[in-house]
Amino acid sequence: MIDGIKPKEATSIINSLIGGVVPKIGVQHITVGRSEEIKAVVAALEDVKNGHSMVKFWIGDYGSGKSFMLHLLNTVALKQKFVVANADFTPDNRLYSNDGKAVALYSAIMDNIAIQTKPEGGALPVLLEKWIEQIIEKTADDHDIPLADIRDERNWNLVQKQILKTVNEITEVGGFDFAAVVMKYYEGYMKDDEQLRRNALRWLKGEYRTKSEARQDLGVREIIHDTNYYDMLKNFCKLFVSIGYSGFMINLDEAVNLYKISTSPMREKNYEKIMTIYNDCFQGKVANLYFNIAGTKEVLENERRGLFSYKALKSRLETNRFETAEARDYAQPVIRLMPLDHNEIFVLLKKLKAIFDFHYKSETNISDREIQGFMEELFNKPGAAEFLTPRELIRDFLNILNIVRQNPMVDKVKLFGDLVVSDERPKETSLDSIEEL
Amino acid sequence: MKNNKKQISLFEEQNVEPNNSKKNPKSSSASHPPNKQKDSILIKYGPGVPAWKHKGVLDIEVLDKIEWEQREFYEIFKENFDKGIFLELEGSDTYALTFLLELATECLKGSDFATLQNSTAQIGKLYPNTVMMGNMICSEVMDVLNARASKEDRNSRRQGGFRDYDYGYSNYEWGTRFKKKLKLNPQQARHLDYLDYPINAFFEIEACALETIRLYFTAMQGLSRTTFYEKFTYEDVLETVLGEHLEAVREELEWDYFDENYESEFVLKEFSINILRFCENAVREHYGHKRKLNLEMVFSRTDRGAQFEDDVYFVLQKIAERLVPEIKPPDLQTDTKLYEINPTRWKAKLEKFIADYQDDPNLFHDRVLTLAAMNKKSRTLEKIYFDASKFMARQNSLVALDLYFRGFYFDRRPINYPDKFFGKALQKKLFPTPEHLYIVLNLVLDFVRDKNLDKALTVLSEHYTKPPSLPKKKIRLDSEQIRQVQEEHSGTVRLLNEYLADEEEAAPPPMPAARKPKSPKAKPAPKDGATRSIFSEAIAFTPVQIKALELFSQPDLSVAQSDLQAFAKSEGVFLNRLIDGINDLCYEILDDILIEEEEAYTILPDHYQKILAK
Repeated sequence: MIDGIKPKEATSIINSLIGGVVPKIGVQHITVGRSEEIKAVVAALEDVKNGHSMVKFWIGDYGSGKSFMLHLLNTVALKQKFVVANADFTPDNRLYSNDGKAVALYSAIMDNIAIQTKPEGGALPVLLEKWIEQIIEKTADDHDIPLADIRDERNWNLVQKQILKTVNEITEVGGFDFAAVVMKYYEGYMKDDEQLRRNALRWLKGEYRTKSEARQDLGVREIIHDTNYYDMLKNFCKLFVSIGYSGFMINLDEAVNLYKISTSPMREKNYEKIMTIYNDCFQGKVANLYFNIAGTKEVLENERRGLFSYKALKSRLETNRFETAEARDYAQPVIRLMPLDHNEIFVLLKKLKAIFDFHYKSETNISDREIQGFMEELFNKPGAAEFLTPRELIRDFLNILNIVRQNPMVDKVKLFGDLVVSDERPKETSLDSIEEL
Repeated sequence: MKNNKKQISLFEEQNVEPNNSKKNPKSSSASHPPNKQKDSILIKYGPGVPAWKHKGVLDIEVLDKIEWEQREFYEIFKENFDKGIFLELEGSDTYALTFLLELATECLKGSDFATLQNSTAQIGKLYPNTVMMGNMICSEVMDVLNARASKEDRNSRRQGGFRDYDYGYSNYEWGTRFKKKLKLNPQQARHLDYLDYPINAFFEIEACALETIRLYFTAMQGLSRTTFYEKFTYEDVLETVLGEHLEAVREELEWDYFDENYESEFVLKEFSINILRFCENAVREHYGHKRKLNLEMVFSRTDRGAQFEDDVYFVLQKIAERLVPEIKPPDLQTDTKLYEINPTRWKAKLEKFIADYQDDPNLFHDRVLTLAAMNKKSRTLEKIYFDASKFMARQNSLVALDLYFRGFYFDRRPINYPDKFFGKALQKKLFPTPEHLYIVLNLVLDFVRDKNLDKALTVLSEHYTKPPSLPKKKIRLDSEQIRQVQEEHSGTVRLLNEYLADEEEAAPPPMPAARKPKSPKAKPAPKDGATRSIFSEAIAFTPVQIKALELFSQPDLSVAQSDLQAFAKSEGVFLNRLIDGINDLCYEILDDILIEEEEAYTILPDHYQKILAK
């Protein structure tokens, strides 16, 4: 039943799920009922590794497992040598703006860049240094200079030329400033000038707000702003691939915040940006780039405010007309996460009990019939049909397992009877009522 | 009138009576003193008047065209006229007419028409040939001023949208408007008209205006009966304070620009308006209208003035305290209008209902409904129901839920489900059994769909008191499907395990160019370091990485960030890259990061043991 789970995976699964969050490791052991979606994800990752680019929209109701799937994607992608970045759309982070909100999203992405050895984010300096190291090695190689000497100040010029040459190869827009900033980073390191290194990182993360400030600190004329940040993301994607990574995966959650933009021209501009990304990825204008965008059904389908309000996107994202509940198509850009059925939930709970017992090295006294009883009790609670989410169900089940493990004689029927289903959704349930400005 | 004192002293020096008929002209030109003529108020100008007999249309621009001597004499004539000294013109009356034209021009620019009128009359007496022309000038100026006034009046009516044409009185003639309703005597009506009291949203409501004016006249009567400082009447004090005020203003302002009459009238009028404002504030307070009018200090230029104002408001306060209870309570129409202009006024009323609540939920319910009806145009209408509902949740569940549904009927925002709307404690009271919650929740879900308030309230009253027992839905499990799900899941786990398993070559491949064989100089001999290493040979650490790991061989397996930084610097490598390289190599064996970055760089003892050479 538990297919070679490691003890630390079991610990991580139980502790995280009781806390209502997705476990950091071992997530594959709880992917019940999502086999087809996972196959699609794995295939997509393979494609991106091979130089394709992709945009996937993960659509599902609140609590349907969008964030879980993004997390799983993260885990697999990191293992597959992808550079991964996660960011949420917020009222202050969006794809298009003219008041710094788009570059704020870029900053959030760059701040959260993760690699396998730095999964919690903040890996940009590591990646930069890895790249510079490669450049230095190549310069030393090309000019037959010992590695110990290549870092001398007299050889900076050679390194600088090599950086510029490589940057020119991988960038389309803003290459000179990008190379100049990387040089400053290198200079900062060699001269032990921490401030210079920080300034260079600030620039690369899009944290400079004025050109004059950037010019004063780094001597460059341009900064990363609302209109050029996407080009810079593409530059970074090429850079990561040139270092040897499989690709760059960017996960953007909470797309409802685009839906909630109150002015329709601004909303449309954001959808237009999604269109640009979509076209770039699927027309092969960019390689090894993988965008995942997660949102609710309303965000996609609402004809007035959703992605479907932008006609060009609607025609691209409409469901395969031959798809049914039984015959699903996971190759399309939109993957809809359907709620788990009773059989799937039953298997999931059984699996969780097995992991729980494995973790505590015990045998909790709950039979399959009792698991079914637990489900019956919970699904008959008022509001269950509307508000019950896998997160809540799993948390309640693990809490009951904990009680039963520590109090074997406890009345399980009473425990099940005390279950309550509450509405944990964020307040803006009916998004249709948002006022249009 | 101006500079009167100075003029008198000039005549005294010359032993001349301070009478216009005996004045001695003071010329601006010292070499040409004018001579006084006997038995005439006109004084002969010594050097002789330069002749100026204008033919044709006279206008003010003629001054720019006349001779230098004529211009000089004109200035002397004007200066003396202002001082009350009148020069004989020797037939050149054009000087007097030009002077009148200049006054008319000033009048059109805004100065007082009365000055023009007086000067015209005086010039007519002194120089009879100018009478006809002077009257024409005056009449023309008056026509222009009248046309201007009526235009302004039209504009103000248009902007204010006031319907005074229908009533036959102008915007602020409250006396004329309300004299019958308030039974005002003609003097009171005139006084009120004269005040031109500006309109505002509160005063626009007729009942509020009537009560304010009623209070004003009663307060004014009270003031006039009050004795200030045990001996002075209100009028006495007012006069004294006004005198002091005028003196202060006179000192403050440029002498030439001070108009005593205007200032007196303005100040007294403003003071009365302030008293009316005070009365309006008292009525506002009484009617629960929170926003108040500002009372501006008008006598603030002198200490006594400011004190007087304080005294008056103190007396008014006392009068108001006595009179306010007699103010008629607002009728339904007035109350509704007051709620319209003050969107939170209902709060005080609801608080009163709550304070007065005496175990009669139906009465409370009716009161809330009436209050809501009066606030039907309010933007916070739903809040009335919600606040009332939350209060009633402790008293009577059915009424509380009734008000909850009514609130959401008017709320334009998404519905707040009962389990979020009511706190935990209230939920227990409202939904004592799951059946109660079931009934309400289903009702809410239906209500969200159809927004049918009547239906929701009917079903609520029918079912809430006797909720039907819930049928329990059986969950049917299909063993074949379960087996299928398990199989699929096992397949997924296998697939993912495959992808999540560590690859043979953990480190990312270097750039193609870097793969070229390097010169012997470029590569230090790694084996040297590796053979002497205490670390497992299975991990291909470079000599620098081994040296770095050796720094950790202390009991706590940690190295300060600065130490490792210095080490990296001395070795000419990037710190982040160094750590990442080590972590990358070890990931295969540990399935975890070796060196963790916290306050210092640390390695877990278990991990350390695993990388040591066996």
